[in-house]
Amino acid sequence: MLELSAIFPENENCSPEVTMSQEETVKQATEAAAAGDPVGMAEALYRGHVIDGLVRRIHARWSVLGYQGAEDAVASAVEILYTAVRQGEKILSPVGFLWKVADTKANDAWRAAERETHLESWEQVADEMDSYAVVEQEEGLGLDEDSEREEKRAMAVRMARKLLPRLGQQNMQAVMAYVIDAVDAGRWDVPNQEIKEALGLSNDTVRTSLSRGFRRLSRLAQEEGLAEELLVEANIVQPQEEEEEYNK
Amino acid sequence: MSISDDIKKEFNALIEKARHVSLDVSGEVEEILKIGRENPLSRDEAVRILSKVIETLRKAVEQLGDKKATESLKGDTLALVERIIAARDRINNSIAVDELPQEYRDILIQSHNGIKVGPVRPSPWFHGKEVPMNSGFVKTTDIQLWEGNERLDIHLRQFHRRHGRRPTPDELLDLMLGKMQMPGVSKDDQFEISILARSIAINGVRKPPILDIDGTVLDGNRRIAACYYILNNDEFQSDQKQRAEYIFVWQLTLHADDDDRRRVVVSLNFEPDYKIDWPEYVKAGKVHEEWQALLALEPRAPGPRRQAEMKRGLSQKYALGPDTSVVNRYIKMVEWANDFETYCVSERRLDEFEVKHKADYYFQYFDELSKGTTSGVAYFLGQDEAFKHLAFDLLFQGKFNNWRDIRNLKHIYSNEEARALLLRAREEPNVEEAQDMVEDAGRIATLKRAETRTYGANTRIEVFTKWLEELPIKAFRDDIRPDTLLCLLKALKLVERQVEKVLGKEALKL
Repeated sequence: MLELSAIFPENENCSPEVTMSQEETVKQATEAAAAGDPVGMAEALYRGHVIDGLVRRIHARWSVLGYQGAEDAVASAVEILYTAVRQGEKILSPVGFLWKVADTKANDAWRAAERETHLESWEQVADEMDSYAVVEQEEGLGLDEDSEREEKRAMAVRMARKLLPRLGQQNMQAVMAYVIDAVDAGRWDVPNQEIKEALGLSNDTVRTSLSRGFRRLSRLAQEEGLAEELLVEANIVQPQEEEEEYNK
Repeated sequence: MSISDDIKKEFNALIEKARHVSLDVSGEVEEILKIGRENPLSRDEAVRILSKVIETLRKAVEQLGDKKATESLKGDTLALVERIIAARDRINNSIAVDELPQEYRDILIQSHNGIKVGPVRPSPWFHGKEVPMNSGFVKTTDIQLWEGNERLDIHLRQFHRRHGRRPTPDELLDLMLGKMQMPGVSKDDQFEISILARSIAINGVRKPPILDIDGTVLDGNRRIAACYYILNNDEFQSDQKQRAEYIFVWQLTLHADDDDRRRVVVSLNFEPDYKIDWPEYVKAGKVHEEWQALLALEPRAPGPRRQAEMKRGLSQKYALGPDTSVVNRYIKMVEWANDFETYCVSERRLDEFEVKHKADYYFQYFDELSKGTTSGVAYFLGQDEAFKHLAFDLLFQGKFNNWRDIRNLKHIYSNEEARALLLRAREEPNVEEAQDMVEDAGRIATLKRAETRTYGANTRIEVFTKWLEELPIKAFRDDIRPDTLLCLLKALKLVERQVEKVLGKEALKL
């Protein structure tokens, strides 16, 4: 039988309130997904009250989306878990994975709704001006929005990697590099247990490195002029003088 | 925004994403599992989310080219969802047995007579909240009555004061059945357990009592006490006892919390169920109809003993108790109501259904009208058809204030003045004034009767003078006959002489 610590890697002294039946059903869910049995996976997750808890928690956290929004986020999360497991990804904490995906999906849905509201207000202005030029311009920009966004994200990843040596401590650099790589690879969940095992570090070191690493990265990025310097270093933009020279 | 600002923004988003994916969510995971256990989805919610999950998975596996998975997701979505829900229901019921402490396992609900233990569908709601329950049978003698029942609060405190302890389950049952004598408890069967038991003996327990997970009775103490009563009473036959041996109950699930328990109790004891019993007019009509049918089946007119036997059977059939009193009462009431309806429709030419509505509305009055066939109301009404019709007219017109007016009819019958007042009441178009007249008629008749029977001289004089003082002056001119007036004057002169003799001349100056 799988140990509770394998499902809840961060909490080896798992709460006694988490029943063995839930532990077992979560294990059965991932086994079913690995075997290409999505119905078996859904059944196990429902039997273990995982779906119940996820819907309730997501709804409580993102009540602005309504019950339907929470259900959509959870349904997406279950599908992504299935796909990940089926494609051979090792999921150490399936419930944690589901939570993170559902939370992100809910966040995305909320942002999309916000954007839509913003766009609607533009349309209203355009209506009043009896001209759709502004909207057309917006829509035109949106055509290659995805590729532009992807490009910017790649730049941000390069920038983050450039910043890593400035974090100082080697362990911290290694931990942060691991996480940045995981994000770049499109991972949804990188449990501390996985980092610990991959880098041969203790739980405490991983936890502390993550906490300090994020703080330092954010601070470094805010420092005056550093961003430009890094962008140049990473060949993302040309130096200011060269740009001015070019413009002449 | 410069390009560097744009990338800075993206960088911040990346850091946020990295923070999110590496976040330690073990606490959140525990919370999710706990909430899931304690606050499971309702059936409707489960159907909705699982349908979405199935649909989403179906699209994903098609894109992946996952043939095996595509095959497993084939078919009707709802059928797959039902399969998933049923699997959990099955497992949860078996988990419940395993997880309960040993002392509680004896009162777990069980399958009986081919009816299996299972979740109550749709889940019941109590005081605005869905509270999932399982249903099944439990042996009556395995259930202990709930001493936390507020209905028994006074009895329990009284018991504690007398005995210095809480009652045992058997004593609690005796308290409910009224077998234990308690000062101040006037009725033998205060909780009407015997009436309920007779109903259960015929129909079984129709509304399932609700048990907590440990077997405590949250609702249905009376029904369970009634089942005990059936099992321990010779009044009931063996098939009826068999019916009370196992009770169909609802039981809270392991996920129920104190709020659920409170809601069950509040909902079932504070919120009315808005059930309206059939009017007695209708019930009595059914019994009377059945009685007539039974009589028609008899080869010859049945004697008193046979009639009593037939009425007992009728009483059992309609759950009216072991004796024939209710059946007798119903038969008499319906006979009087029929007499009333015939008179109103045939002689008064009133609308048949208007008359029926009146008979329904005033049905209890027929009970009073039918009482006393040798010297009561029924006797005097039977002596004089005109007097009976007067009573029927007043009844139809709604001029009787209450049952006392009906009861007074036997005194009014022999009092000319009171009868005259009733006749005036019948003709009076103003119903309220007519009601006053009917009341006065009763007062006159009963007063006369009371005077002749019990009052002494002082009381008589007091009553008379009070009445005289309150009499309107115009009555001397319009109502009082001259000979009566002279009679009064003669009497008062006699009084004057007596006052002077007894109290002296000074008293006459008052």
